[in-house]
Amino acid sequence: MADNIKGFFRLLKLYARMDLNWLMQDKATVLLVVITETLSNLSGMAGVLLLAVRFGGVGGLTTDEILFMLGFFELADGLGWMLFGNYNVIHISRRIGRGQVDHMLIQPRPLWMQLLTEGFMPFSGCHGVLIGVALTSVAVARLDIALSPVWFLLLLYYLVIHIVLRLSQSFLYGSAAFYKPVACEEISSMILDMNSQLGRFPLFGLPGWLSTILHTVLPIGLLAYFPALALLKDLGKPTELAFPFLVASVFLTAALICFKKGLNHYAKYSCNRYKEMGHRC
Amino acid sequence: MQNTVVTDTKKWDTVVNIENVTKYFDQNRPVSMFRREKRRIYALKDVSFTLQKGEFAAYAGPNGAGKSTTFKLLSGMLCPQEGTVSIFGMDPNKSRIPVMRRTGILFGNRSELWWDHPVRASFEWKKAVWDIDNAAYDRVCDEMKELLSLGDIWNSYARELSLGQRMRANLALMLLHEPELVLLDEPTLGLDVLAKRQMIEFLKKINRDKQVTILVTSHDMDDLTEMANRILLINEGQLAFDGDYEQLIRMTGDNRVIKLTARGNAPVLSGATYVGTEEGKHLYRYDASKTSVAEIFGSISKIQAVEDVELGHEAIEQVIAKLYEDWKTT
Repeated sequence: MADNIKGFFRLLKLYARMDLNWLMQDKATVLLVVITETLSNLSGMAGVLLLAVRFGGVGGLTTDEILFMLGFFELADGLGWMLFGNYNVIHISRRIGRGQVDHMLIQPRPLWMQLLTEGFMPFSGCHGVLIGVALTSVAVARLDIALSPVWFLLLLYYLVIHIVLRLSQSFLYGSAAFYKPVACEEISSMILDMNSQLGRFPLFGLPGWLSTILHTVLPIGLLAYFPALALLKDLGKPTELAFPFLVASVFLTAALICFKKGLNHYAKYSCNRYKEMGHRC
Repeated sequence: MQNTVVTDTKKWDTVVNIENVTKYFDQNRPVSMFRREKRRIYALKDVSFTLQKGEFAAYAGPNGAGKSTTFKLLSGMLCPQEGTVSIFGMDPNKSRIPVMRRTGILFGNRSELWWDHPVRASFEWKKAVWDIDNAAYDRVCDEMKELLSLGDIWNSYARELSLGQRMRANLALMLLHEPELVLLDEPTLGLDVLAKRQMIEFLKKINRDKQVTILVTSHDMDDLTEMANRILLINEGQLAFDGDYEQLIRMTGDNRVIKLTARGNAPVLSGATYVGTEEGKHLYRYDASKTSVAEIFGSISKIQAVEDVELGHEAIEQVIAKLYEDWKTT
């Protein structure tokens, strides 16, 4: 156990160093990465923000509350990207579909350790976190929220829920690539894109059945809307705290089971030549 | 149809043990736009062999014979439908981590180098992942740099390397943790003559000096005869031959191929049989155990129209076809 923990942090350090080395190849690369990723992140939330500014709020939230919600989304999304974004770890179906899991299987490290460390990119992937921190700070200042240790713990809790939900969905649906490798190669990207596009919208005013679906089966409501309400409007009751934890736990468990089943299927039946929609080599 | 020459085996020296392994894949093959036909493809059919410590064996066969599947079974990526696979007495699928600490694997069509990083970064990566101590890392790196001439490319990006350079770097990277068993799948694929020679000499050296057990696949008979002291021939998932090169020659004849580039029609070459003409080259076959190379060159020197000559071993498919004939007649 101690060896695993030591190994885990050793690998995190290694991938952080590799990320910095990659970024520092030349100054133009650094500049280009910072500018393009910042523009990409800002443009992703521009639609909702412009609607809120035009109409003085949208979906039951004021403009500043919308800004807070978007800031939270950027922060959580940026953290997820920074921790798991490199080498297609978060887009796991690409690695499976391209037959790259083989590279992992010849390493003398547990798969979980490889998957939790390889995607770490604290330097080239920090733009989302920085934008998120900036937007959230501005929104907190404008809304005059009383900050306390409990509030920060709650913020951390919802950040973890957001990351677990997105990563779990990517692995859950991405495991289909073990069965139809090329056909499902981009399934993780599609799921993550869908999360990014819908997760930034406030869901107030939707019919109950639709709201239920969007908080459970397709849990985009738990990515930013529900956490924003909880952090802004003091929704810290035990049942409201337990609900996202329950949904995230169900998705995480399902993702772990499906990934393991997919890996076993690969070991038993897969072959890049003979599989329908087989691996690209 | 297996022709096996069993050598003395001691269980404690057994590095690889494959027993009655069958591996198949089910496929739905399209026969028309709306109809699929179920087909079972046997990659391996009841294959058994062992490898002892320090052996250098070639695992040969034509394309699609089951070579890469065997390697994936040995490295724990796949598991067999029937039979057992063990490396160092462990099941590679269940004991992946301890097996991988002692095994080095290189697939010729894949690279373990980090594409957007200098070559040295891949070595530093492996040092951390395999937990190699500083002294061993420095020692092996120095040795590899010298033996495989990595000094010039040490700081180059992997994406900039030529095929031969990339293969050398991959080979060195694979050996960094000083594996006791090395599995090489088509390591000479696409290499020029010089790079191929360098690689073969290097593999022989580590086998001789460090008693590293090596299993190497190839579908090139010339490479096989150069490299290994034991040949396992596989065809359509079955082991067709297991023995040394001399035994193989005794069974199939020492058949060689001559490719003659000459103006006009194919000339008559005494001591050799004309096979056909491909891409302007006239192909001949002769048995080196009956006709010497000197005699062949004597005949060629009398032909005025000759522009170029290439000599080589017969294609592996032909060797296997002869083994089948031999098996049927006996």
